[in-house]
Amino acid sequence: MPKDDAVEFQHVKFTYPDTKKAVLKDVNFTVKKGSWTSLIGHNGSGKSTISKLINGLLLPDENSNSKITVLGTPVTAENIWNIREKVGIVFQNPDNQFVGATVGDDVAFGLENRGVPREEMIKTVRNVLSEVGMLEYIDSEPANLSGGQKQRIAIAGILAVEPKIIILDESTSMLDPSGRKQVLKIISELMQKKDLTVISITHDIDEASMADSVIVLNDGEIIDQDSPEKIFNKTSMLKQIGLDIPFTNKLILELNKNGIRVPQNVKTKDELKQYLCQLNLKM
Amino acid sequence: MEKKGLDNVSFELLDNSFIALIGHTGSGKSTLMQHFNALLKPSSGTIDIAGYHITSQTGNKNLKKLRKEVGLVFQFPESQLFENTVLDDVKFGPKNFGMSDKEAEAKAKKWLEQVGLSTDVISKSPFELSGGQMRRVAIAGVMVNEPQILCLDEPGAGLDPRAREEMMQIFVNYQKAGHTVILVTHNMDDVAKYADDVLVMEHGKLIKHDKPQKVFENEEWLKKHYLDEPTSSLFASSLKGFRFKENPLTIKELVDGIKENVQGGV
Repeated sequence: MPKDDAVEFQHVKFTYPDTKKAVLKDVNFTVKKGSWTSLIGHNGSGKSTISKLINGLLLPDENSNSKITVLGTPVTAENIWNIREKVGIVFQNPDNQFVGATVGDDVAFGLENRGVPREEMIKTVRNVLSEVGMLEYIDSEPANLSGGQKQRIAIAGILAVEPKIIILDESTSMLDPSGRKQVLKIISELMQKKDLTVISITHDIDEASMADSVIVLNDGEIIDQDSPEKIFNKTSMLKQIGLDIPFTNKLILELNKNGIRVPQNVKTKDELKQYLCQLNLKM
Repeated sequence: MEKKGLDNVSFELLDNSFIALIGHTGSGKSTLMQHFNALLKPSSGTIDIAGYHITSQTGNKNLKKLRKEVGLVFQFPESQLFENTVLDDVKFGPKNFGMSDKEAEAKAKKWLEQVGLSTDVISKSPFELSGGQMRRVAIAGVMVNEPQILCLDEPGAGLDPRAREEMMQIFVNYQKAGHTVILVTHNMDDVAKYADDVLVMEHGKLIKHDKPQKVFENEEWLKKHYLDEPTSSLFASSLKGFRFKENPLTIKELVDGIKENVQGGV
């Protein structure tokens, strides 16, 4: 595994107990350190299984030659505790992730588990809460917070234990648009500041577009990995596997259907605007 | 401290229409929705719905028919599944409203099929299903009562795009079959695509009640209330030199408008 890889999957196969069909068939991919990778695919395509395999919540099928490496360490039953120190997951439902009675207690939970001295713990809790913009809520009860605020607390709890990789497992899908924006903005700021690797599992095209690299999963197999621009231009593939296509691509398709030919090299929203304006002037 | 969840809200909605209820989190959308079948009752004022007249004095007796005729699907309704099998869960409503076991079963099977679930899931525990399937079971559990008015709070949230689209189509068909559908949503493209009529809530007040075309007509007003425009109209307003007869709210309207501009030559 090259030094600059955060996660590497080699021939990973996974079958849930009591089922015959493998959820992941032969999955191979790498995630570069310090990059943002999005994992897209319809419900049931195996996305969440991948996130649970990365931090050892699940282990690949025993009788397969599956190999998962996280930051140079193979994920095995013996290593999972080391790995979990480095990989934090923000789950989908903000209400299922709270353990503390107050925001501060909740964020401190992971540190208490690790026996961090009290003085240091108080300092860390305050630091991470201010990093997600929630310090003023340190004494609040979680029940009084919005979904977006709750997810920010969940992120603070993860930051407190200083992970290297953060996985967003559909963590914005239950939020309203402003909550979603807040969470994504904080993640991208933290990524720069702390040199984190981000893996986001999402149906949201805008969220996937923030990535450096997009992995497309269909029925337990990776069918593509490329930059967001390239992936989102493959509209027929996306449609076929039931995924959304970005607005600009939809519009180009419809314009072409209606006799307004848009040249192949026009791909982004701005290019399309420019092209249409020129076309209009010529008329 | 007392806080008004709803503040002097008045409106009338037409039968058999598709209504969108929009506004920010905490604007009073859910509070309003819970008044539709008297889960909450107004402190003052009256509500006429499905033949009922609800006031602050309305008791909890005799509301069964109202609860049947006004079906509410809350956000993430799959968290409210409780029976041992999918079939039992969906049968629960009709049986509770007085149907025989046999009739209830037939209805339940019909609606499970309508929401796109295959027959092999009906004997499973709802908790063995995927999130998307659980959502469908929960929605079938309300639609099985065939309410006159179906009110749904973000029914597509967290589903993949194809499943969302399928869900929306089910509700459109239900409306077309002669029912009223009220959709609570943050998605302005859905408002533009599906709604005949829009209610906009803010701080417990109804700040606008109009057709989508009118609601999205004034950019300044939308900005002031932190409401998004549909993607198509946003794109249209960024096209310099273009004239649109009507603000295009959907991709179809946008394409037609662009066509008129570049081909019309007037």
